[in-house]
Amino acid sequence: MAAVDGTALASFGMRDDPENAEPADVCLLVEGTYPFVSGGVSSWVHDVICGHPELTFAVLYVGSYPGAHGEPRYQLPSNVVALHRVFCQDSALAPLDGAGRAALREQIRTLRVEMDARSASSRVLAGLQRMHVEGEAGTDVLAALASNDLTLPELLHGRPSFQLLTTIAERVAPDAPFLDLFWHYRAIFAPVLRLLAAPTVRARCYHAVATGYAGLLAALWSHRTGRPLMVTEHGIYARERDMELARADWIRDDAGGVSEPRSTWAPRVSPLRRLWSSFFRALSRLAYVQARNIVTLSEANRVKQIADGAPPAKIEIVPNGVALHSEARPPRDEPPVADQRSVIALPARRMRVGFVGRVVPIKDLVTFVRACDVALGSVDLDVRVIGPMEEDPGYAARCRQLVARLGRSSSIQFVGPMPPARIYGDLDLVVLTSFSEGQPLVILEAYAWGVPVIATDVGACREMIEGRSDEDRRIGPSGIVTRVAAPKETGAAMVRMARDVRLRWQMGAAGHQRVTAYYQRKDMLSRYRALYEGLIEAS
Amino acid sequence: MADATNTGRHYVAPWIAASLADLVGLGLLIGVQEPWTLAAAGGCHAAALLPIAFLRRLSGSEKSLALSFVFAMPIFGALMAVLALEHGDGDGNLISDLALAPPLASEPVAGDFGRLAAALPSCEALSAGTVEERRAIIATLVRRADADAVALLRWALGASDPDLAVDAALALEELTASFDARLAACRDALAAARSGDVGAGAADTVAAAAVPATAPPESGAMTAGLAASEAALAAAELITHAIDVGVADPALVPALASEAREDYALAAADKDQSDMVAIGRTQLELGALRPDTALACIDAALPTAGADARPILISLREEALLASHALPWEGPSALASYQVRAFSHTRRPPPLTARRRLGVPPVPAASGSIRVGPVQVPGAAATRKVRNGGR
Repeated sequence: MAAVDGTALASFGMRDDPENAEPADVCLLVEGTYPFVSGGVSSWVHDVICGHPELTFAVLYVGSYPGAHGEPRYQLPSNVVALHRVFCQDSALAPLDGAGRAALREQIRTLRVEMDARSASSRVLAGLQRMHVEGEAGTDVLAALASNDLTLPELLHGRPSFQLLTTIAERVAPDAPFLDLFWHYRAIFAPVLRLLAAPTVRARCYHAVATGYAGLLAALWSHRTGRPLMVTEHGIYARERDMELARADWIRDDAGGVSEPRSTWAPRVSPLRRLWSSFFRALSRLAYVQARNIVTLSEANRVKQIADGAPPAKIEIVPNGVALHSEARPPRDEPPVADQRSVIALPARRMRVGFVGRVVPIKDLVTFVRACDVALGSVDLDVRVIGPMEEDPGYAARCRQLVARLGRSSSIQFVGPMPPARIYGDLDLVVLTSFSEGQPLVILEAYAWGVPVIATDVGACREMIEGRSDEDRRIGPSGIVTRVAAPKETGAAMVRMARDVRLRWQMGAAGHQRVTAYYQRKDMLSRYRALYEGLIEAS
Repeated sequence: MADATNTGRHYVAPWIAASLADLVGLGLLIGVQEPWTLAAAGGCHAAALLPIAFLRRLSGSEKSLALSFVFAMPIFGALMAVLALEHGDGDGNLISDLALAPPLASEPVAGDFGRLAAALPSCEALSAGTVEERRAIIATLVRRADADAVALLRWALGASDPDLAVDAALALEELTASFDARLAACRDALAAARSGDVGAGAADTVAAAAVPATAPPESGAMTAGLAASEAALAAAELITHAIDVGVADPALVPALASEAREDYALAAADKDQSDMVAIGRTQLELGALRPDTALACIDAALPTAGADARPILISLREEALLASHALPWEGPSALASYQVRAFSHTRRPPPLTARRRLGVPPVPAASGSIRVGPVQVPGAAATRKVRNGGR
């Protein structure tokens, strides 16, 4: 690969040339999370790095564009030897004036002459064609992409690239307006070209904490250097992107009248959405193919990964884990009341309910507030929303306004982020109403403190509450599972918990037993230690 | 061949033999009541099948039919078989061999299945279609955002497929968030207008918030330079639409409806908007399940309504009458006792709320019944008769 000068490194967000630096034991590739965004995945990454002080880590952050992220939210541990950033897009370009356009035309003319004179066709373009037209995403495609023999100007202005565009138009998206397809083609492949050209960070093994762009980069580097790759997926990247694509308003469905629906209600899939979706699935498959180990958090996610093309033999389930701190309150040995009736009289103290997490739409705090409103009609609650609110101020304001309009300001408090030791010791119940989750740490932290949970049936929540194996299920439920966006159901569950102190105690004790048996941080770290050792040995 | 078959059919001996064998069996059962008679009768019945089985002149299908008759109906089966075979296609041939039968219809082609799939109801396609189709439908529903679309999304929330439920929940959240944002903009614009700060910014804000995405571009321009009454009408109509289609949070509907009523009252200060206010207010009350109030609004507005608004109000009145019967707490409705003459407005009945307050008895109906769409609503007299136990 060609040497990269300082300007080019800066354009990727790198200060030093990673190819000449001392290789780290592990290069962790993250996309849009650690260390610039707080949240479950970032906390997990921080935990993994801190949990392996004997290993050195180089962290590579894949972001959308320079300046998109703020200051780091985490203090980098001492075993992080380098933090690199790579961006899928360059800084925004200003519109060209007359002279600039003339220069660009000249540049394009020269480029085409050079490309026409070249005898061999681009392997990258061939790889992209196989990805999108033939639907392949194997080692051959990865090798073609790793050749990095196509520049961004060649993609944007070259004739072979235009030929690929027309092939896609004819064979993959014949219904799509060509002009729209032209821009989407550029939007899909330009970031890939930038990533292909990024300087390789040297390491003894690679660990991608998602598929997607980070997974692609990790697979490319693993292929180029021959160092092994491990992929850990908390959520299923391709499916999460599908959910976003379904609601993306930047994809016009009826552009040009070409793809007008046959009837108003007829199901119609936009070919452009399909193109994007197949692109993200191909990225996942490339990472799966190159990975030596694929780690997932739950059985539900494992099934989805296999459906998306992951070889079952490579997949290993390693659940998240939490530390059982000494200050964590173990559940009492006896039920809180001597009365053995399952339902006892209302407790004198208000039940303290907590929503712990970022105040963002995906957590569906609106449903939580509405559920509390339903429950407050029957029982007295002390409700706290604990978590950062600055990520989506508009949504936070909307939630606050909803609380005010429901007249529940005295019962529902927004208290902001707090350390776990101050959160769970002061709660009787944790409620999670998320639309999407992987394996929420919040649930495990609540269990560590003997606090039962009400959570929606997403991600691994059900198996965390009801048990994953027969042995696990014998412990008993450690909370109640509800449907998504079901405030009445969630509210009813809260009322049940508030009225039945014994049930709450039983579920809290089951949660503590479950986290002790299956979700301890030390177990998770020891599994990863073994995986890292295997990777380093294989390198 | 036909001749031979006919000839064969005229052989009566096998059929008589079959019936006789069954008769012998029956005679044994009745006459000799020994333990072995049941087996003997069974043997006779089996023997009855033999003459038919060896009847060579019947085609395979005819033989199968005849054997079925004889086996299923002892004694009479042979006769039934003869009758059935004689009622063939007129040529003596039984049209039962599928290979010989003429084709009923051309084989379905892929296009037919395609058309069937395209015509699937959305709820079927949501639950049975592919993930891509499902998401395409949900995206379409979000773009439509009418009452049917919202109802379908709410139905999908309860689906057994958790992925479908999540997609529907996200779509509903998107609709609700969009409504909240537009309502906030309307409120800001109204507050600015009421405080006398009718700047272009406020006007543009409310125009952008209140005008539906499907409205023509000139609608936005028309709302520029809004007065307080116009801003109030825009806010009220937005709330009315949200309640009507089901986007508004159910827990907030009473508060939102109250806010919209205040806005309509403010908007009514502009006499040019009176028809719009009446129609909007009626729709609000219908959406908030207050058909009695809706009727009162219509009756108050009809005498002065313009020519364009009249048919709409009359149509809404019919809807309100029907809705009054749909309410679970209403019996044969007193609301239905409104006279038809109300439509002519020579003598307008007092609003129901006023009559309840003042204790005025229902206005007698001019005719026996009122037609509300396809439903014939009993008139006042009939209603009272029912309520008073026929006295």
